Amino acid sequence: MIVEIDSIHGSKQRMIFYRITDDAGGVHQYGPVITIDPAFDPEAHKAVVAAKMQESLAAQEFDALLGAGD
Amino acid sequence: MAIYCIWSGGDGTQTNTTQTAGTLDWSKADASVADLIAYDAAAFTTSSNTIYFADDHNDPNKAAHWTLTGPTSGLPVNLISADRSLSTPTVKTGTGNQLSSLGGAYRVALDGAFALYEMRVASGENITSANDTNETFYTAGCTFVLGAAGTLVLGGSGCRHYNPIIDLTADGTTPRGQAVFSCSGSSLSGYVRGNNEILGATFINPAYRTGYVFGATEAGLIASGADVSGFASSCELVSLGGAGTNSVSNCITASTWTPFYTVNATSGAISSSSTVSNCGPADAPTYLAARSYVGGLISSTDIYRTGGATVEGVACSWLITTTDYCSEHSPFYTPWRYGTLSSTGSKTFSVYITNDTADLTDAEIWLEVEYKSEATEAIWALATDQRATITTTAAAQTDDTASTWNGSGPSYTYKQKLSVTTTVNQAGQYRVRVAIGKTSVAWSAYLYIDPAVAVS
Repeated sequence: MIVEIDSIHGSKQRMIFYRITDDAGGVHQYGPVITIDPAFDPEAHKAVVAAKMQESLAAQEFDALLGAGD
Repeated sequence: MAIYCIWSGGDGTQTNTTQTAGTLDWSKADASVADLIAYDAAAFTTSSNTIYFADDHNDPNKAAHWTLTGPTSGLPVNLISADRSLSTPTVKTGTGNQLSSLGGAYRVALDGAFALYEMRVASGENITSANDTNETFYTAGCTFVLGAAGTLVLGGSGCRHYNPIIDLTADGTTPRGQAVFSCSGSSLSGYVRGNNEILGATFINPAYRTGYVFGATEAGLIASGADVSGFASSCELVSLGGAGTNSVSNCITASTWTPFYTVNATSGAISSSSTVSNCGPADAPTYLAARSYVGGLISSTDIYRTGGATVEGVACSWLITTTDYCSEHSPFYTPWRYGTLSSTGSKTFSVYITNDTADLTDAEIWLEVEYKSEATEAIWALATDQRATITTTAAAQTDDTASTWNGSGPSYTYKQKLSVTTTVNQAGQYRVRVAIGKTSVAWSAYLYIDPAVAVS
């Protein structure tokens, strides 16, 4: 899984958008993370995004097993 | 209707009679919920009964999940936390665990029509309102003590929580991935459960939640006035569950926060949508975020068009993204913008856009205007600058050479104007929205819309 910063919008209030490519090549979006904290590190937050994506993919796999939405 | 008192200091003889309206005799209170039920099995299931709990009452621990059953229709049973030092019924915030499944990882389920006032409900796991379609559920000023990783589950035909206090102390300092509030309906039963409303929620020890705060699946959830400033940036405000509708507004957040938990696209999520408005760490009148299966919108105050939209004097714009599932037949829609016309005749409605990728065509983005087309009838008409038919060759929308956009990030390479001219036959209200039918517009495409609607 690769987590990249898609784009950062604004300066006073930053909106950070992430792009995730999963192991199967699927591309996903996460965010924005919104901050007025100058100390917030978008790079360090990639680890949080990766964990969220793993959790989301696992949930999707579980739903598929149950046939959710059929 | 009957009136009862419950106090763990009561005599517990199970022989007490009902109380007299207007005067409570705490010395003759039943000693526990079970004690009262043993005395009168219908005490909690008879519509309109009122049961006063001493503010310091502690119901006994349980050894299993615990369900308190209420009426299946009609007016609810009232559960009121009352000042035990007074004989006149007087609401007082509960300090004891008045309804409790403590004793292990056991949940409390309130199954039926209940109205709770200032009660303290404590669980070793989740707290669930399992009211069905004929059962109302209402709480005011109640404290819900959740077990470690516990969730307040809203169900049935809709729950209303006024000023709930959610105590997450049992989370300790361990990250917990569970939701704080969740509600779900059931597609299997053929209906989507009703709206749930949470007004003025506050939280104790929220910092260790890494799940989301609010989430609805096949149900609706409205939250307003919550103080979510104690949650970490890894805990999103709203989850996009399958076919759920969430509306969260007027909340204070931490300085770094994330509005949406992005669930992967699944078929069940195709009709889900969520909006977050007027939320942020400071005054945020312009703030709006919307997300659905086909796209998303988020407002910006850093990027705006000169002379464009302002809210309370603050200029703003809307940044748009779309997913793989967005197309001309399943576009992402901005919210409707409403306005009022004081005259009839030919009117031109215009909205300005910009992006950094390419000029957009009338098959990729268009304006939809609903207006009063008839002089004496209620019906409105729809006018659009979308291409005429699905087989009409798409053409680029009109270039906008006059606008100035401001703010760092975008290059504003492509500026366009969406415009609809039509004849309005009755003065009064109209509404306008933008439809984006272009697939996979990335955030980095910098597709911004000025929310202002120009009418000439």
